[in-house]
Amino acid sequence: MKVSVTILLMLLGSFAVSAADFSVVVKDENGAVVENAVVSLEPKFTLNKPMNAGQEVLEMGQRGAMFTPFVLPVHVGTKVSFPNYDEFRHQVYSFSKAKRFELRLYGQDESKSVIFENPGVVALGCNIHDNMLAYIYVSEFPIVAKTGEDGVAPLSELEEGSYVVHIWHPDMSSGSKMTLPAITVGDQNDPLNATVKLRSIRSIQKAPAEGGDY
Amino acid sequence: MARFEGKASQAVLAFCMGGLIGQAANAAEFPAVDLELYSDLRLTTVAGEPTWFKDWLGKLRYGGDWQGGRQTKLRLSELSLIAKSDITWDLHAFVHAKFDPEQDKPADLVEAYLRYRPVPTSRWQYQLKAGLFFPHISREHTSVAWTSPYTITPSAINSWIGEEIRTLGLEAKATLKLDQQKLSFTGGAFGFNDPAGTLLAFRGWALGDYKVGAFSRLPLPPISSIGPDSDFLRFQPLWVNPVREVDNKVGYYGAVDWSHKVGFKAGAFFYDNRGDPEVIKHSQYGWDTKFWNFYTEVEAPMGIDLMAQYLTGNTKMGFFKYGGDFRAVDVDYASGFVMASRKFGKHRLSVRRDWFDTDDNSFVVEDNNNEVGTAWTVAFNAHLGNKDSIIAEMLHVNSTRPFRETVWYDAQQSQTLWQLSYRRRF
Ligand SMILES: [Cu+2]
Repeated sequence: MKVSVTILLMLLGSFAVSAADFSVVVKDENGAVVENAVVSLEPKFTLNKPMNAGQEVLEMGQRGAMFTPFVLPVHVGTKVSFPNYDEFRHQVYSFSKAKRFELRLYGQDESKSVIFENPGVVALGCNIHDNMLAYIYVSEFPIVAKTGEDGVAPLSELEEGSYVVHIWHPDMSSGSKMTLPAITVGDQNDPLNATVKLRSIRSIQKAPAEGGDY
Repeated sequence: MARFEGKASQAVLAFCMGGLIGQAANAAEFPAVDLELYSDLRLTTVAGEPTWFKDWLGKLRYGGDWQGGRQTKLRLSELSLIAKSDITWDLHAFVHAKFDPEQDKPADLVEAYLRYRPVPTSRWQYQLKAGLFFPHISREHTSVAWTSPYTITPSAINSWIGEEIRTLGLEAKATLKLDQQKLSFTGGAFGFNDPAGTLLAFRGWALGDYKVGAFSRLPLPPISSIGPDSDFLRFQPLWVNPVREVDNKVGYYGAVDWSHKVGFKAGAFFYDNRGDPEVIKHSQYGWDTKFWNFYTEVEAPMGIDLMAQYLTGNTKMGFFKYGGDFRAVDVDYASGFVMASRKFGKHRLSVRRDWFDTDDNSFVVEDNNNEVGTAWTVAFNAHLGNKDSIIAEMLHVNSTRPFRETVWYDAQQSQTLWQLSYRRRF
């Protein structure tokens, strides 16, 4: 980490930015770590280095009649590509308020992309494969990360200062997200522990039916 | 899988679909036809009663010889051709044609339909289906070419669905998708299924993976109450052609299906072909056949999938005889099964218990269609690759049918069929 921080400082040159590492650990009410929780940070100050949303292209692939990843966090204005890694077609759609669209992906290695301009949760489905399910979480805030299997959302190279932490997960009751009190990110930071209330039955993306035909 | 993008097929399908073709975003890519072959190579060994396919009263697709001796055979038990075409992104065509040794035609049509399913714009999803197809009664037949991933031989209920139930009609379905649950309502109007019920009355329930083609006849046993020599129902020949329009009346079905993410599914289905029992056409009676089908599926602990179905109904045919209140044939029928299944990696082990019963309400002396029976099925489906698998199955059936005595057999019969099926898709 030290190396990359050094490189970053060198690249930034004249910017007098001190970057800090921070992480949020998300657990449910039973104390079990929660995967696929989206952590977004709302800075309470003006960032020296504004996030250039729309510069990077993120990916929501289709492989083996499943979306991958299951949850994709993005900033407002981000372009997401939808590459089809299968030999068969997918008809990807969303009727979520944040973004309504339909993509027709004929076959292998065809990719189309969508720009997500509005914040909110975009639930994805496929009109051909009923089992396919995924979420794109479009955050209005510049810094987003997702928890891994260990429940940890890593947030590296943050500017020091005060942030409000927002957490969302597909199994929180519809349309809700959790906002934690503002925290201050300094030079050295302990991980922030967050407990979320989730529905007992978790949404998962099921594998396609056995011996079924695509 | 072979892919044909010939001009001829394109022209034919375009002609069929008329203006709808304009919907294709990229018309140059549509419509392509995907062809797939499905083959089932079968090794069987069984003793006891001959199969009903030999015009008898045996309960299974395969049986013993005329003395009840063991028969062991290797054969191609099915070769299916499945053609699929995406005419537009929302409109799909499906055709399933089949060869098998029991079929009286070299090839016959199992299903042929168009399905229209636009991309949902709300939590409600809508679908229309038109053509010849299986209404969604069977919970077992989720694999290609109307086969089951659980067992070679489906339950008594779904064996009968394969033998006699096929609708030529129009079906509309609306599905409400909520975060945790899904609720569907289905309604269909159909014709060409008027003789359905014939097998259940004169042969009774059976367990087998044969599915009838639209133009095929199935044999009936030479029981004394039917056939040209009979003085009870001499216009009923010793065969049935289940996919036939007899009375020109429209039948209907309706269904409600519910599933919850906790791992629970349940549903109810009602069928009434509204047959006119007094009409005879093409040597076939109109049978007034109605039934309810109920099912539930539970994802139990330890990776065990539980599935149960219960079907109950009645069928009537012929005139009110001898001035009484009953038609020549008036039979109540019911069957149920419970299956437990578990995956081991990509393989699957399934155990099923079947119960079946027919209850004859009329003229039991002349035409006894009573029956009770049970069956055990144990099967292991070994996954060899994405396109092939082997299923090994043991099926034991025990049944009592008093009318067997009129063909010189004991009323009670039991037999065990061992099968090995190698299935491959091309
Ligand atoms: Cu798909």
